[in-house]
Amino acid sequence: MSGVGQGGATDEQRQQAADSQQMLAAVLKHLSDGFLFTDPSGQVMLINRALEQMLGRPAATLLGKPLPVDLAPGIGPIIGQALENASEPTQGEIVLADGRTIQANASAMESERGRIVGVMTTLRDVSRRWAAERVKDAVLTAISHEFRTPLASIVGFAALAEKTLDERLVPHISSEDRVHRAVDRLTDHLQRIDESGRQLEQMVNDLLDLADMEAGRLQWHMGDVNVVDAIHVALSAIESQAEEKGLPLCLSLPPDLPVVRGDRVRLAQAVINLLSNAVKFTDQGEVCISAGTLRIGENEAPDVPVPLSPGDYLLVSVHDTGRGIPAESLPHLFEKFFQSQTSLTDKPTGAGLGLAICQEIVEHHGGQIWAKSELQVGSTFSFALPLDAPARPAQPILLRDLRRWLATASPEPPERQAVLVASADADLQRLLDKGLSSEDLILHQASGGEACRRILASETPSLLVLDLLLPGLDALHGLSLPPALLLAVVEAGDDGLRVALGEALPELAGVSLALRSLPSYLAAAWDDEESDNRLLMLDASAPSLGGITETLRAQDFEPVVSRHADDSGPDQVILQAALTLLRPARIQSTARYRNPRRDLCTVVLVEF
Amino acid sequence: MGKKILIVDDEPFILTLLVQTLEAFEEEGVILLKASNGEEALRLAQTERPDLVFLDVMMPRLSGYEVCQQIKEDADLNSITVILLTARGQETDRERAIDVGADEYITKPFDPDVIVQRAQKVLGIAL
Repeated sequence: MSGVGQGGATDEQRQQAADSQQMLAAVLKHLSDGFLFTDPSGQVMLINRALEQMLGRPAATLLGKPLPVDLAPGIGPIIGQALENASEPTQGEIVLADGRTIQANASAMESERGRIVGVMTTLRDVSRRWAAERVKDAVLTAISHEFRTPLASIVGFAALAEKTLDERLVPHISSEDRVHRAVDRLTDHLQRIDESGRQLEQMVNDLLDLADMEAGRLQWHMGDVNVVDAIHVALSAIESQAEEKGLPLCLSLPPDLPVVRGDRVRLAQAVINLLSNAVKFTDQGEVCISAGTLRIGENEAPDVPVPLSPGDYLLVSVHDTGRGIPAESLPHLFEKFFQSQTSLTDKPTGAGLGLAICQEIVEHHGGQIWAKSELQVGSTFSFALPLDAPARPAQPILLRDLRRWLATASPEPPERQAVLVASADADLQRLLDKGLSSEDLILHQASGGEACRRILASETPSLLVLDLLLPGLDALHGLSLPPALLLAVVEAGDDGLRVALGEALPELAGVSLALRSLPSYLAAAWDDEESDNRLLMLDASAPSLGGITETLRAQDFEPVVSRHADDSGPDQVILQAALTLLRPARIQSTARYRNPRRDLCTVVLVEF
Repeated sequence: MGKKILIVDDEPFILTLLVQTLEAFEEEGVILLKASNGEEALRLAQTERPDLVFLDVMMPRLSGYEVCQQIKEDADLNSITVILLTARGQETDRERAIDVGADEYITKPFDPDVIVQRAQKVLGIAL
């Protein structure tokens, strides 16, 4: 009987094992994420149905060998890293050939004896999430715009009503107590409407500011800024708010603070946001602001939770004795819409955009921002701005155009996009390197036509930034260039600033451009029945333009020759490079205003 | 002859708000003219020759920018002071306001007191 009993137990175990295997198979099958199991040599051992669909290949064709590189480019290194660092899962994003973005999480699996038996990788399609984020941002911006008119009404009528009450009614009302109380109450109500309206207005402004900053639409007015001025501006803006709560504001500034390169108004805005938060979350004690310099030497690990490269910095800190921020909230503080809750009874105030704006501002100045905090003791928010910034400031127009172009032209997030900068100009290379590195873009650089050609043979950048003065430009003739092109010519102006002369040519999608055959480019880019082929040419006295005018006439274009931008409503503008030094942005905007067609493009001609 | 202010906005609430903000000027003999679109504004500018125009830029068909530009390009009208009411303090708005020859621009939402101050200055009337 014991034999039977033992046999029964074995059956049960066998049944259990079969059940759990079935369960595992069912889980894998119905998992919406792709699942991949590879052995330590990288051979595929298991693939679930979701991954089959994601890759468009049946499992049978993939099992028992390494995953083909072209099928899921970039997955190899993620799995490799998980093998190397078995204690921690590895995360990364890869892009499939059809453009879908896949988030991969790989973890090494160990046997009971600690031997690594393989790597489990889950793959999730996050393309739609990216797209949804974009839509969400666009909707928020649109709604915010729509809020402005009703808001103007609310704030305006409240102010007007208060004034009428005060000036026209109060002098005439009887001295009866009840009437006086009613009037006082009305005044109070109107003030509340006004105050709430202004709060809402602030949120709308913040939202629009942030959207502009993120899209690179905001114009920065960079100059020499005495940070003491910005701090004083911020302090006076926050004074009444602090006074209402009975909080003293203190200020500690060393003498002779260095001047920093930046946008005075925006830096003050960052300080205002930090001070305003400090006051909002502090009920007793004080709010202090201090500034100073910070030197980080080579091989020195600074005592800050952000990466700061060696160099000299201007440091601004806002310290409060408020309720503090829980440690788990610290990493998220600078995210949009994040609200830290220190207790269940806390109600979030504001839209949660102030710190995200601070971060945008500080990062635009090449700096870093961070927070340290202790619950019930207080918080310190600090930012550091580099003092050894290059003598030539980032050229905003070119970078803004680039960002705008990248944001609109490709559904890919910036870190998936590659940019090839072809220029022999070290300053331009440095400028773009600095300006684009914060965007997490993949940046390729070429300083000559041949190098550019070699890179294009192996890479497919989303954007080619081509300096038309590139030596060896001939090497690009006949090449199929990336689907978009920025004709960017930079010249040093009298004030040492660089001026971007080029504009992105979005119409170029798919058109390969032989650089010297402008007329055929125009014809290709202009294959549009509705267009009446009007073309504004500026400064036609230059010999090259004269020649082109003739060629264009022969091809049924209607070149309008002018020295001014606003003589006609052209479809395209051709500018002589020397002329665009004047004010390219203005010429563009005027021409665009005259011609609401958004696809107006400007071609900049350079003699070469 | 009495002075005239032309007030232009396609949003009825904002138009009312502007008119009521400026009503005090009527006691000083100032005539307030209203228009709720660009064409009407241009017509009133031509027939009534106001001294000052408060002009919303965001209007369908004929925008405030266009109205402003036409006023400033007309030799008979270009002495009229035009104050644009722009949607927000965006750089492009500012640049465009300058481009079309506006004398000044105020960003929305505006403070009624600022409107009154500007009108006082332009008309030379102290309330």
